Amino acid sequence: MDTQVIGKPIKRKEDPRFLQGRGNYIDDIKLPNMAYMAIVRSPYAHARLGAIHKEAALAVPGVIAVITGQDLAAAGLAWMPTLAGDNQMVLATSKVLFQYQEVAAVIAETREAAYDGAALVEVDYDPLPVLVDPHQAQVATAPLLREDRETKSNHIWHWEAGDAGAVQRVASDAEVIIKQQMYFPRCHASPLETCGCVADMSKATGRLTLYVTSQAPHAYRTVLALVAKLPEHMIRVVSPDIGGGFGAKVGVYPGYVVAVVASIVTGRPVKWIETRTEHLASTAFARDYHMTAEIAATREGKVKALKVHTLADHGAFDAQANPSKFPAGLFSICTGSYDFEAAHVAVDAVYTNKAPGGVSYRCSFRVTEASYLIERAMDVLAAELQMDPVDLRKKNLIQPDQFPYASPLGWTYDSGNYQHTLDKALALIGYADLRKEQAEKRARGELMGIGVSFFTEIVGAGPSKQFDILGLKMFDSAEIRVHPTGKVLARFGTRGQGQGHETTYAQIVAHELGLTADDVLVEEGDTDTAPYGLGTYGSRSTPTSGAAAALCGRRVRDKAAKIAAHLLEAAEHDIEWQDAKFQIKGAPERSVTMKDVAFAAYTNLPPGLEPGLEATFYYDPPNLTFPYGCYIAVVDIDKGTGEVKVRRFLAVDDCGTVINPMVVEGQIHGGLTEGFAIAFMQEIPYDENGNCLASNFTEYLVPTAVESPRWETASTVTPSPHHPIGAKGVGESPNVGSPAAFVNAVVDALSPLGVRHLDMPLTRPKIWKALRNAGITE
Amino acid sequence: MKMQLSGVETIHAAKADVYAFVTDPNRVGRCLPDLQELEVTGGSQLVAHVRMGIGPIRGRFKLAAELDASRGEQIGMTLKGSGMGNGLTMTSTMRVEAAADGTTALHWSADASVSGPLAGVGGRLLEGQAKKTTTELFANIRQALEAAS
Repeated sequence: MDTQVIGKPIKRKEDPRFLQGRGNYIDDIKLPNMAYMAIVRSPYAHARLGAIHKEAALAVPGVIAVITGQDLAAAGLAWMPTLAGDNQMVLATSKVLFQYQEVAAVIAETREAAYDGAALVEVDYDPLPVLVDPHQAQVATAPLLREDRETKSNHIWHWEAGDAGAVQRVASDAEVIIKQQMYFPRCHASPLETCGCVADMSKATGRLTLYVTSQAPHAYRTVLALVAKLPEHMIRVVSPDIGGGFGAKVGVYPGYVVAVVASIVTGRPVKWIETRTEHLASTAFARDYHMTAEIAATREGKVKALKVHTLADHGAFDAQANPSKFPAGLFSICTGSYDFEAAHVAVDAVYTNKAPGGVSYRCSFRVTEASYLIERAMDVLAAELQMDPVDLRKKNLIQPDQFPYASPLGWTYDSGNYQHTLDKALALIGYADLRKEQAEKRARGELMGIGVSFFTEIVGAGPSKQFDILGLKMFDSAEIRVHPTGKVLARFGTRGQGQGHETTYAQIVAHELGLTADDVLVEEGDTDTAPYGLGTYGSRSTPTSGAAAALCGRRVRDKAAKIAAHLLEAAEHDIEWQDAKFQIKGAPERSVTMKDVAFAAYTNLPPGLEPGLEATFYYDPPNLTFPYGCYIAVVDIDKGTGEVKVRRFLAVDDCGTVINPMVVEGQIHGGLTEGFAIAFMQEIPYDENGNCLASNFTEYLVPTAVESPRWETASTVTPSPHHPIGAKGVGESPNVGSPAAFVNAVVDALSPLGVRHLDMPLTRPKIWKALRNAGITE
Repeated sequence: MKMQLSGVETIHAAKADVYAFVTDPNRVGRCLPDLQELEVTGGSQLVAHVRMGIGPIRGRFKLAAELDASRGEQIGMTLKGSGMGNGLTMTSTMRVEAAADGTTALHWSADASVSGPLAGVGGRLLEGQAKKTTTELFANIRQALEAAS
């Protein structure tokens, strides 16, 4: 038997059912007597709510009920807490605060009748002045959005990290200071499958089963118990196969709560599936950070201090899903891969009349924004110093002997060999030759750009002393049951959405137990069976549940060793685990396998030992993990049309120990494609009335294979010293690292024309305009 | 989405007739394009149901309008409407001016504001459609007046 399981590109165990269209997604769930729900949404971004007229909707054949905010208020459910500790309207009662806000729900026998009914619910609105620009949120004339709050202000919170005094001291005698404003636009993960649920409150048992697109089913169960005041053991949350999540399926959305109420009211299972427009315009936007970065440096290019201020547009409710003590997520990773003497970062969050959300789209809790900020600012500094951006980075990278590295913003980076990864990337892309080619092209007036991003990620939230969501500590879990024939059922507190958990977890468990990945069945997503966990987001599954899988396997092995000793008629201390089997020290020919032991655990136990072979492990990580990578983009720009062609893109990732290289490569391809989309085509803008101008796929673009560049990938391996198998997590790295590489490449191409910065998305019209502004008339 | 629209209709009718027409909700209401139902709810108010929209977003809208004749030759018209999950408001001013040749010029300007999917989905087409609908309203007023005279 091949005992080396970790590091093998095993084909994904879940793919046969996905590729054959046999997944079990939320909309595949059909229960007897099931009713359907459609939501009536506000056309106004800010308006007083008048009467809601149900009659016409109720007259539609098949419509069963119309539920309004007043109906919910009677049950104390018109508002719900968000994961960020704010309150959010479930259905509006007195006013609406963003376009497409939930106002009423129509329950009907069929989906069609529900939508027909929803179109006929007549709502009286009295429009109010609209606040769209976050920079205007705190001016005296701005309308007050959240009249429900005690604090009569559109300011939500101020957060900072680092030492402002130290930054001032270091910067006071700096030879060079650059300052750059940059906007990371509001965008949206928009997975293939939108959000949805089937709520089933059984009249017979009094038990609620909520089938729901959730990346964190256990957290949902607890939140539901608290919000709906239901006993937690009478709630079962099942998260079936998920068609992509990327953070858009972490939050608890009003539609879920209304569906639960609707099931209680009607006594029937109620299904609600978002339309694409509902998803884009009301559910979990991403980013929307207005950032200013200042770097103080020496003339030779040694960075000294970093100062960052960010204005965060949170929309109408602070509904981001961040660890509670980190309202700006892990944005304070913004010193990146560089050794700064001092740093300070401050974030102010404000309300606007836009959809709520904030943390999604593979962002690693705002690391996308942080990484973009520092990698863009480093290029601005390089331009100021007239240095090659790679030379500038080389001068400032944290050195291998500095790990564990204490960053000035309070993190302890676990491990890294940055220079090695950079050198590998430069060699693979042929950096020196590309610069030569670029010089020749520039001499001919052609626009070619090379963009480098050397990002450091921070994932695996997180240690319980710092990390919780609404008080729930962010540990995660694994449970392993070894059956008598040596086959394994392993369950986890996370919930994969296409990441390949069923394969990678199986590989970890198989590795620890001396089995093959085929011997291990992985299950997640059912709170009745899976051990408690905080779910999958922030690239945390491998750092937390992956660690739990390994340590749970070792816990099983500890018991198995006792049984092995019994089978080998030896003392336990004479038994060792070697080459995926138990053997007698010094006599390897006398051995038993895990399969032998498993059978004995149920058939032939040593006296006094508890039967069975299973274990549970709750893993509280001692630190976060810090994956990193070097991404290089090469672009050519058409001077006549503004079209950018990404000629090459190389991603060299270091995510520590690689469990399945094919799964990692797939993750990177997907994330790079998203990063490409963010850099070049995606934004959710609003007009002055607060109308959402990207509420469908004609306005909000998702790249296909036709537009996507060809991705080149490579890796270096620097294991995490504190993770049981040295793995760091990788899911979000490509989205974190790539936007800056694309933008740096485009700005590099345009730099001979005096362009220093352009905000994403770098659409053709935007670049065309930059070319015209620079006097190009081709 | 906010829009400013304006135009002028040269009407072969006396100024007094034009003035009387555009201050009468019953007559102005009948000139609303794609009118399905009209109810005059007061001396200067009307509620109308029209069928309007852009492309696939088309359906029944309820419009409530009020005419304001208190400012002499400047006639105000405010219009608030909703339908298919959209909201729209329009504030419009009309001015009548007699010409030497016996015709009357009806100058009109309107500030329109649209909220809802119509503004998001139909954004690029909206301005043209709004202009078309509004122009049609005043052209209908001219035709009705000329047919009557």
